[in-house]
Amino acid sequence: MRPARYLLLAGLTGLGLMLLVTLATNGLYRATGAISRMDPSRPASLVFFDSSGLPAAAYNRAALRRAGPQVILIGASNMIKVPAETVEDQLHMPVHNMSISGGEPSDFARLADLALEAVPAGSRRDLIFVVGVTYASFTAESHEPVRPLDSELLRFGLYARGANDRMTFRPGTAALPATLDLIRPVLLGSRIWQAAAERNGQMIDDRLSGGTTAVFERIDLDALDEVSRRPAMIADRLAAQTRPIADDSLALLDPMARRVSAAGARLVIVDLPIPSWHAAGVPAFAEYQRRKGPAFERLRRLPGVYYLDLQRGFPDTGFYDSMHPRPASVGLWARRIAGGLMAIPDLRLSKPPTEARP
Amino acid sequence: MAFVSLTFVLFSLAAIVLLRLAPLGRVRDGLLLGLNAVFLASFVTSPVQLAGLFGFVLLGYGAAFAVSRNDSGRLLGLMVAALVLVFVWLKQYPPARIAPLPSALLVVVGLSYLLFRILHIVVDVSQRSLTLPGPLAYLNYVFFFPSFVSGPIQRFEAFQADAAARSPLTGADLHKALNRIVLGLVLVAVISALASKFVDSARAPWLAALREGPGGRAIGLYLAILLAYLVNLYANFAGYMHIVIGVAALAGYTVPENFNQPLRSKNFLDFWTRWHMTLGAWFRTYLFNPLLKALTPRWPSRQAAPYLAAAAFFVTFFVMGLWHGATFPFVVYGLFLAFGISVNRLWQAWAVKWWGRDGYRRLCDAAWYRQLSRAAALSYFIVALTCLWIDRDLARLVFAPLGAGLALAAFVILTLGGAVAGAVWDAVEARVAARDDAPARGPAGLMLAVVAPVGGLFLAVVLAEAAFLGAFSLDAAGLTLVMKSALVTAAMAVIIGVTAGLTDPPLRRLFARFGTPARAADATALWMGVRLFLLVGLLLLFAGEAPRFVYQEF
Repeated sequence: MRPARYLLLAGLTGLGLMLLVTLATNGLYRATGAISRMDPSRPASLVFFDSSGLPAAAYNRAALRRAGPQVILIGASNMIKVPAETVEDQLHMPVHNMSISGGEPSDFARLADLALEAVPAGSRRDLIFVVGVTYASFTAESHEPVRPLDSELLRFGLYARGANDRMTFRPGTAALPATLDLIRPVLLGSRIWQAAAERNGQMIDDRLSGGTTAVFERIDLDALDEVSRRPAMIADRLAAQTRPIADDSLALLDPMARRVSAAGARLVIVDLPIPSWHAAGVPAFAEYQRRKGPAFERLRRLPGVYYLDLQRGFPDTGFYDSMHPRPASVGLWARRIAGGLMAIPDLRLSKPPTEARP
Repeated sequence: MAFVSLTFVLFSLAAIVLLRLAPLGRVRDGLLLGLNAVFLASFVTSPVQLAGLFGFVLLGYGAAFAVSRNDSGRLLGLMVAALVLVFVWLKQYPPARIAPLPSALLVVVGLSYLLFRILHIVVDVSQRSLTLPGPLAYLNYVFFFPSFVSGPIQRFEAFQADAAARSPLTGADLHKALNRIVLGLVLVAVISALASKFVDSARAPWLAALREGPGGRAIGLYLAILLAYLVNLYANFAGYMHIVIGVAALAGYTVPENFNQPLRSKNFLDFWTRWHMTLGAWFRTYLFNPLLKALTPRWPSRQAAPYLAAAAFFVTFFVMGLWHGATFPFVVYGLFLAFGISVNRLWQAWAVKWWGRDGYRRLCDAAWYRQLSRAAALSYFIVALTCLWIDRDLARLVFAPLGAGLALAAFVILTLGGAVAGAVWDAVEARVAARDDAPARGPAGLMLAVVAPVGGLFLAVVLAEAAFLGAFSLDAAGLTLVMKSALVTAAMAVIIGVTAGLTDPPLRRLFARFGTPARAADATALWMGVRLFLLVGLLLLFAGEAPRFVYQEF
């Protein structure tokens, strides 16, 4: 056979199969509705991405490609389960959740960059970023050379780390939608393999450590008893604090605030609730309460930056541990966030309806 | 530039096209030099970092030039010693650390193999079996990008023959080369990555088990790590060789094989004619043979010959072991290799002495001896490999008396188990081969021949994983969970196997039934397209997980 014919046949077959799989996968992606809204808690999102929010934030930004106002929720694991749909029902505008597990202020700035990259240039000024923080956002100093979000972005070689630690999309922003569509099959395959490999890996690790294979049981977060675990959780929180609350730690949110403000978009810093026993048990919380006023006031001087205090009004029974809302409580969080946003006149959102009973 | 990277794929494509199209002679040689320079530049951030490598290469040419003018043995000895000393200094082996190297010069990628190529030229030029190459030919030879990092170690004459002539690329050649590249990428990016992950996961539990004391768990985990590391090393090294050979072939260069089914070795001596063959050949030519030649006049009797050979083997393999590294684990590795090879040689001598040549031949032909001998050779090598993956904490425990007992137990278990497994494998293989050689079967039979290896692999993986996870002792919920995971693992194993070419031999026979050779060739090309599609998926799935080329560390 002539080499040219061989190459043509092999190449066309390979490319044809890739095209077929890409079309099928993107069809499935659209059919599951994952494209319509970024929300890591939705089953549609979990098909292609996992519950950490990382691959969704990196590769599900097609949902942001629309003109007009949008709200983007950003935060860590306590924000991941806040249903964007519920906030959307209140605000009557598209709402997305780009929160990631273990997120820190440096990640929040990166997420804002990713959102601004995906949104059409003319609509960036219509964006409202809602970043949920607690005192803990400012007390953990990550020593990882590469953050998990950056690792996800660098995974397929699509991003490169450039000046000022900004990530640049190598093919160019104009090629973002097509590129993400092209790698969709890999994301699905990766998700399937990851789900299998994680479970498998855990069983193998159990076996190697001399145990028997664990039988994984679903934990009912709504029923989980947090009272008996409180002392241990407080000890964990104290151990997790690797930096004190100080002016420089409260300045960690500055990069995000400056970037969003410079883009003409708006940023609402939401002070999220934690259980009262947690607040009382950790000295850093009191220090945070003392210092946050001047720190957030400084950020509020930037055009388009606002502050929303939601620390109060959430019962301790609404948390299944020291930080995270129970599934039955996430609706309340969503409604309170929406209500808080509507109460900020400059955002010009709808009048707040009568608040539903939690 | 990592071999498993998009950059290398694009670079290789460009290199292949350019080298195929360039006219033979200075143009092609100049182009190759440019490509080699680009490849080399990918390892550094500043040209200064190549000062060490370039200095060494220039020194090598200077040495070759000197011996081309004067064939005195003393001068050759001086040049070789100088090159080895500079090599030791550049690699910063322990004795050389009294003269530390400025860190800016510390890029020494490919240096070990550079040493072999340069010494080959210096010695052969001195002995007049080679004429001094011109500078361009020399630079292209020592920096030849496919084999620069970790071999194979090619002889200059073979390289020059390819430089001077270029056979046309046929469809069959293209298929063969692509086949090797696809297989190589699967081995490196997937199989080696998975095996390496297992080794990393198992280290901590093994350390914990060792601290508890010798027992079934410690030995069991040790055996699992040994086997996983062998898979990792073989898949990694052989995989890279496949890629190197395939890329070079497409570019019009023939690079020698480095592996010849080492798992079929008859004994430890035979193993080293099948594993890292070019390294073995180099050491045989430039250390073993000269050493034996030097020793023989002192003890010229026939009775002394095997003992001299054993001594020469001992020195050669000890040096070969040290070449991997000069730290304590590598000294032990060298001793392991040296001891094993010389014992094997002595055993051959003694066996002949006790039973005569015919008796020894009958012994070697006996099935039980063949299996035991093969299993013992492989087991010895596998246990010796401990030196390459052990870390400090584990070394403290393993190199204590506990370690010797553990190693011995592992060797015995692996040998006995390997002998049985080898016998079963040979029997199955013979049966399959007999069926394949049978008169042509109908389409149903051929389809079954395609499906059989896939089904066999699927079942084997399911059963192996289920057994490893103790599924059959679990309750229904646990068993269901394990079986679900095992099915996914098996499905992935099938995809990996098909991509690597598991079904190619029976498919080739099936395609041959398509009427004309042209149609069969078209079907082969189409199937390669399917495999390329699966390969891209696997590479993207395992993106970022391909381990470094193990032999790049040496």
